[in-house]
Amino acid sequence: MPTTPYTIDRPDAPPPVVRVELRGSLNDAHQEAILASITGIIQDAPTTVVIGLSALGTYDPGLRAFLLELQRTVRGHQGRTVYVADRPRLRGLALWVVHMSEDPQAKIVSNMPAALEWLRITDERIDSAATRTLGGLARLSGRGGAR
Amino acid sequence: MTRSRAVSLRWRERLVLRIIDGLSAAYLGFRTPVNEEAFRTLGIGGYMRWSGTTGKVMKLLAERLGEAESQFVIGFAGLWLGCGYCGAGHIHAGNLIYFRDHGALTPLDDATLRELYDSTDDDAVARLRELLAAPEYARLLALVTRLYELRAGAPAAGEDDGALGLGLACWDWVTECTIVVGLGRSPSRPSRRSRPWRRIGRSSSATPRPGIDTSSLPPLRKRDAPLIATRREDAHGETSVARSARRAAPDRAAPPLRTKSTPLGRDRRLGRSSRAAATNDGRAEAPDQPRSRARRPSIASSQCWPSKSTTASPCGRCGRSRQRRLTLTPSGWERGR
Repeated sequence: MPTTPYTIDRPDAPPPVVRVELRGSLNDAHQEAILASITGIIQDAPTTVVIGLSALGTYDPGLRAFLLELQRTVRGHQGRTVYVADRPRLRGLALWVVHMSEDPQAKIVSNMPAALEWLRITDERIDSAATRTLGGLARLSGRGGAR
Repeated sequence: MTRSRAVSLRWRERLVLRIIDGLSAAYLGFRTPVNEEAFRTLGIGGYMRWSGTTGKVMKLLAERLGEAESQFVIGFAGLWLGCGYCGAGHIHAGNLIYFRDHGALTPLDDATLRELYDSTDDDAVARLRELLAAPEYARLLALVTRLYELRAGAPAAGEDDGALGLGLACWDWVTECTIVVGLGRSPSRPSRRSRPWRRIGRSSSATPRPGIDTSSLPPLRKRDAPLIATRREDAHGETSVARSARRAAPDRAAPPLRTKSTPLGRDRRLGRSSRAAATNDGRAEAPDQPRSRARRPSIASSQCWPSKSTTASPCGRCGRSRQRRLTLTPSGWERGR
């Protein structure tokens, strides 16, 4: 049983994917340790960071601010982020974070297979949603979508 | 994202935002709190595309899935993404439409939505199966559980999957901006002065649907009614439900018409402000009397006014032409039938 409320897994072989699992409330020391670890990993090469939130019970404003800082750090190094959360409240938190960080490549999914699927493609989140919406609208209405 | 959030709104964006906020206040009864964020994120062109497409999707889903069902689907699509604003608002709207059609509310109340918001997807589906086990909710349950399956990655195969997938994709797009206000927020309370608000209040509290016993149901509170107006009024200012009730029980008076206004506070037929135009005192101006800006006609429940509309049809009570009016539905403003 790990003593820290988080784990960071980094596979030795490519592709460069780091998996961060959060399991409880983080104090300042935990937050600094995670940021230092992630920064150390991603500064060498653009890296994908998978952040697991499903084990979190709830969250506080401090965690929200920390995730925003982490997201901006990853984006600043041309990294890509995927959040995995199995509850709406946590998905809302992740969506707020990626929106406020203005990272179009970050994504929120509910399970690991969906996360791997997202990493396989290079779409941007908003453009992908707009394209799927307009395509679906055109298909179902039998004519062109929105102007 | 077409523009940086860090850049403040430009003057033309602020101008368009004020116009759209004004229209929202007049037509919906409140200023949509996500408009500014949408402008900040998407810009003017992006906002127009975003909101226009969303309206078309809502209309299409209502045609494909049903009026109430489409609102529930949209609500659960927003709720899944963690947007409490979309989730609660559209599920409440679905409940309101369901109440209109069936005289009862579904079990998807505020407490249930809070519970679902904090549940894992598997637990949420199990809870929904429990809540919507009654046969009358079979269609709703099938749609909502299929929504969760599609979200979990199931391939689209069923008859409704195209529409469900469209709703999910569209709300992926919509919640990009609504999440800023939707993270732990319930929908705005509509203005008491809005027309949809008054229509809902009149028709739901005073005139239960004939033939349906609603005495055992909890009263529909005004604060549960988001922004959907579904009642049509005829030239007498009488709602369709009130008309049905009067025909079923002629001695029972229709609820009094207290005020009357059109969107933007202007009576489009008369071309003047109508806020003060309607009273319920029965002292009405003759229909053919010349009207002036200073003196506005009273509209009482026993009087008609001449219609200039080409779509007018004769009134069943007085034989005069009856104006068809715009009705706010979940898919937008529609002409009354």
